[in-house]
Amino acid sequence: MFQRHFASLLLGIYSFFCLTCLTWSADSFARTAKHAFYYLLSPASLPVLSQMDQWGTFGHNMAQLLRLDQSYRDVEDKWRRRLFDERRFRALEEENQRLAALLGLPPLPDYKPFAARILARDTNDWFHSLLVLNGQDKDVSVSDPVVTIQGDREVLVGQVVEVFGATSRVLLVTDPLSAVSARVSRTGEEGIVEGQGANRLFMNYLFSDSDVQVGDEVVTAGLGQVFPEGVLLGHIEEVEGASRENFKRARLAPAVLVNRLNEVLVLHRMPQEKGGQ
Amino acid sequence: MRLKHPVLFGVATFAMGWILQIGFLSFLRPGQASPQWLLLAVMVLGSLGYTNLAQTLGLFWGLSLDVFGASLFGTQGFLLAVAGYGSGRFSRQLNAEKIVTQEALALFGTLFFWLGFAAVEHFFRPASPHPSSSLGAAVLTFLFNAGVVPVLSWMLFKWLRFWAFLERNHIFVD
Repeated sequence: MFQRHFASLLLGIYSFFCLTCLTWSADSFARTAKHAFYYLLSPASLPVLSQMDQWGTFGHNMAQLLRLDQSYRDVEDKWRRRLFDERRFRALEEENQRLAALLGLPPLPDYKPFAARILARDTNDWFHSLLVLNGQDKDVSVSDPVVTIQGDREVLVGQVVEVFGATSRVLLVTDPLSAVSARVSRTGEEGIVEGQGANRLFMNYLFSDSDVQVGDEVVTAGLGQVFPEGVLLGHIEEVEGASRENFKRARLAPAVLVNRLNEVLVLHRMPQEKGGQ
Repeated sequence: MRLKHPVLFGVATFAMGWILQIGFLSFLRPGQASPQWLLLAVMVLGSLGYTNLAQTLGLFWGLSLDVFGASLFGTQGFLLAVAGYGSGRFSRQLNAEKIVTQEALALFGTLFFWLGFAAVEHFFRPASPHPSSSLGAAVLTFLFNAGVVPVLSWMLFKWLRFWAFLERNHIFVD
């Protein structure tokens, strides 16, 4: 009989215990029982909870790792392509020099870049010139071209006009005194890009039947061997009709972001070797 | 299936159930509706005829939930113990391996727990609002329970068979 009613007896004991705890829930007995239970269960609970936390961050860390891995692969891929492009460029350069030598043409100038930091700018002179810190030991000369890298492109900033030992003054392309031989990339037409101040450039001496359009890219033509060829100057914003001299004029949006310049590259022209066979 | 080492089985089941419960709860926000794993486990064990085991596990699991939760100490211990006793009392009339029986256990278990909890809280702590007084939360909890009870029952059956296998092979010292 005891066996038959054992379940009911057990329920009675459990119910008595629980109802006692509930009735005197604020009493020391219930609180003691609660704390005893808590300390009994904590050693089992804490490792599980800390493990779950780790698993939670594990997923996040794995996702980060995968993203980093993908970024690394992208960078590695880019670098390999650059390496390949550089080798191709060197090979083309050498071929060009050989061919030029065969034809008896003087070799193209070679440039050595120096990084230089913008030291000072005059608010009255914002679109005209700036002072750069190139360092005492750098071989900077007057008329050295100055460029910057924006995105993946070399962009023309201006030209060194004065050298003061460790600093140099750079005349910006937007200065009215600046004049750069330029070429429209798409059509090959050449002209002169002149600064107008206030972040404006104009490309002059375009023929009246010129095919230039809004959006065309304009780069340095390399004539006069002052500026290297192919450096980006800007993009055409507007084409003005032929004047009485039968030349068209195009307004350019300068590629150089004058307000965001922090560092530039001064391209020091290397001494020319005699053209050989 | 008679257990040769019911105490050992109870301790092992308690530990496993508690670790699964807190592991599961760690993914939830406080107050978020979730399946009542321990309540369902107690009812399924009771319906298999393990009345004493079910109400004992119910008591200790319930007290554990009270300790780590916001309810008064003894509330869930009492309710789970009664749930285990109740399902064990009708175990002869129930076939726990049928899905219909399991779903019925989930329904009555959820209903009993929700009403019992409200009653206990009202009686012993009338000033505080009932923690799960939202009808929507109760319905959601029932739906969760109904969804997981077949899985949980299957897991318990496997666990019992595994334990019987260990006992048959004299893994435990008699």
